[in-house]
Amino acid sequence: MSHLPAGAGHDKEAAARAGALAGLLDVAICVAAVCASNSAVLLADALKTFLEFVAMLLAWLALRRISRGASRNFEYGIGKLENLSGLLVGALMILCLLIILGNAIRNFVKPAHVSGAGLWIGIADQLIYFGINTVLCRRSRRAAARENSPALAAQGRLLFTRAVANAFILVALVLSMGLARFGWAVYVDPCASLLIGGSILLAALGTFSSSVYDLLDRTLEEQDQLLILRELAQHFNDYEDLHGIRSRRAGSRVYIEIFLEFAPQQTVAEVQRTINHLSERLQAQLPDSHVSIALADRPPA
Amino acid sequence: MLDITLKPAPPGVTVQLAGHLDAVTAPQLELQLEELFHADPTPVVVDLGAVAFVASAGLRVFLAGAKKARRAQRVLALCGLQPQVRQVFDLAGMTPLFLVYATADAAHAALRQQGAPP
Repeated sequence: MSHLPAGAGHDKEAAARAGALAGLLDVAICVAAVCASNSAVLLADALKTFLEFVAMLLAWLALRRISRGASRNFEYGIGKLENLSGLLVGALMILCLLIILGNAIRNFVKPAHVSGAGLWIGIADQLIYFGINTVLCRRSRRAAARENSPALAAQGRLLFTRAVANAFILVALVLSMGLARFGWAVYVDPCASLLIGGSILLAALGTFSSSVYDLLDRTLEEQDQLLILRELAQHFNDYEDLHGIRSRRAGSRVYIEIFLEFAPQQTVAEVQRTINHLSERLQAQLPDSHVSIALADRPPA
Repeated sequence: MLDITLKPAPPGVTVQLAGHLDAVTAPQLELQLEELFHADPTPVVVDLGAVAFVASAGLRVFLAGAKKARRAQRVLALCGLQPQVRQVFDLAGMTPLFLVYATADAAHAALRQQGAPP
């Protein structure tokens, strides 16, 4: 059983697949540029691009699995696969950061002017992928906002850092070549690498925080909690007591449990009508949500 | 951090709150209200004059409190709501569920005059 509306899953999967394919092509070009040059920044970029490609691949595989639906072994869906995918993306970003830092330190210790035909390949590559990443980043962010998907949000952040990295590497390569007659130009590459590392660190922290909190079943944000309370206040006379509200996220899905007590004189039909109305109203207001209303005469354990 | 002070105002009581009412402090108030609803005093007037922030967890305590007060045939009233706190109650659509007064004295005086109907 699929947990995504028809069409929505396909959009997400298509966006992730496009990102993975673009990443694979970028890896090939970066490796060619590194092989034909002595640029440490291009080497770091090739490694980073490879890791980003792996991250894209994971996001695509997770979304592909989700869009095909959960098996009987996962009756509550496999939305957390998106959170796990986001977590892996965050770990890969940290790995990228360490590589970039290592390369920068090496260049500071043993500075050398960059040279080789690979530089021109690198410049062309950065220019083209800056455009591609910018376009894909916009698409991912729009899809993430529309579908409330942590995986696509992580992908959007990743594409943004890639576009920023493309721009910085492009400027670093152009400056390194254009200003080769100056001794200080050898430090342009490592300095640009460190700036890119900073942007990756910020993106990694954002990815980690959203994925980890969701994996730990964090409750809904305040504005969503207010929506739930608003509905319960509007139906104040339809139930006898409120014994608790629980909520959690699993990937892009939101699960809400409300424990209500009803008056003994109410008929089952009346109770069912209230439950249906409350559930439908909340599910309409909270995208991708599943609302369960349990009959209770005491707070949940 | 939430300080709860009970001030008798026969036949009722004022529950004076000071601090933040959030997920950490809300259970304190929940416990206090339940104890009061099981005891004699009514009306129970909650003074929010020194409360600068009420999170959804705090609102939930008031919503459940309103229900429990009705079941126990007690009156639960609020007073001293700061503008930002009032706004949160309004956003959650909960203001109409309570009798709201400017001060605790005004609340007790008005409720005494009304005979504090449940």
